[in-house]
Amino acid sequence: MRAEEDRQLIEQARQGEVEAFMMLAKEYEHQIFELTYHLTANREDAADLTQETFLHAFRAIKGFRGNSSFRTWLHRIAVNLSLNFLKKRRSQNSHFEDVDRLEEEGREKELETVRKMPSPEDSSLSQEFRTNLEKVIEELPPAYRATFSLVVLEEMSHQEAARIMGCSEKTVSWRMHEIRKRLKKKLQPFLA
Amino acid sequence: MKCEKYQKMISDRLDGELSWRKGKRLDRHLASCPLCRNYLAAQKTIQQEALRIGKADYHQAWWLQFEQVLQEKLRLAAGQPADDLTAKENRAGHNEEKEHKSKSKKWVLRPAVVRALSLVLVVAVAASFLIIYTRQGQPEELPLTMMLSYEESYLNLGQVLGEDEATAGDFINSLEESILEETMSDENGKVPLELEFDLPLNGYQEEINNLQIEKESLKEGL
Repeated sequence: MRAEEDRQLIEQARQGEVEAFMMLAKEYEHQIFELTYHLTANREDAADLTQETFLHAFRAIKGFRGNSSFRTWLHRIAVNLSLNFLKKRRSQNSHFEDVDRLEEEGREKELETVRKMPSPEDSSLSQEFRTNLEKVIEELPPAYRATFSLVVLEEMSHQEAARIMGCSEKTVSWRMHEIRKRLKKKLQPFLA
Repeated sequence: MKCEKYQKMISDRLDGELSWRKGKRLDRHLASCPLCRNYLAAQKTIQQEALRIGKADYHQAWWLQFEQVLQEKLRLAAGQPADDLTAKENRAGHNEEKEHKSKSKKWVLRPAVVRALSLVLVVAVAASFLIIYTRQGQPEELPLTMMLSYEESYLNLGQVLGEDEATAGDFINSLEESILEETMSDENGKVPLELEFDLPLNGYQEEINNLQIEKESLKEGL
């Protein structure tokens, strides 16, 4: 039913109907935002990338052949844009790494104090564990982070994630295994 | 090495990708390997905690704003005019501008209205003078068409005022007062505040100058 509705809206959007495309955007904006947020770990960047994703999709919709689902196609655009963004951010950050590190050290001390405070709705151990988990996920290489976001957080199949990432299902499977090993290793102190 | 293979299977199972056959093999291994059981438990914890992080949703108002911005961008991309709040604001601004223009137009047209009213006044006064004077002389001879004809009334008025200088003076003074009163007051008889800004002394001066010219030309005509 959803696919049929999407098909009609896509057809209208191909004719340049902005309203039809906006209906598609409203359907998927939360998913795309979540994905870009998982990849960038920054709300503003995620919002910008979500806008960019829909803008790119609208411009390219005439070339959408329907070989994959519209959702997969949108996710692919979002992942590609996010990976490009992360590459740029990484190269920009490398210039200011030392300054950042010094500032980061000061901030980290403050954050650590906050993190150590018990949450009213959660145990401090669980909160600390999650904070560290976020940090470890952030440290993953962009392609691994994207794979983890799609499979675990977006709950996609290996096949769908592979289509989005432009790789084989086996690659997705091996990446997930590598990510899990790394996460366990880094989070071992909290798992004991 | 052996466990590494099963740990890969554990990863696939957590993703819902492990086949039934491989699953059976994994279960047999887990039954005999505490290390892999521990690994599975740790991975389940990580998975559960990972699903609890990263929820970065916003309120509905934020999404509405997000959609408006997106729609505007899409319209620009499609080469259509923007039709969102900004456009509505622009339209409102345009309407305000139009309203302002029409207000200004009203004041621009004001002298023309005054002239038209003064002409009506001239006709009305002329008609009343004609009635008074003709009644004194030969009231029966004044035809109705003559009373209602602007040209005829004007000619008669000229004759009447030409014969009596005092009446002519009174007529011109009353005409001048009427025009000034009309220029300065609105329909409720109050002097509009905007007039102080839109039609300051220069505006009145222009009216007075026009009046003087009309007065002079009227005198010349008489």
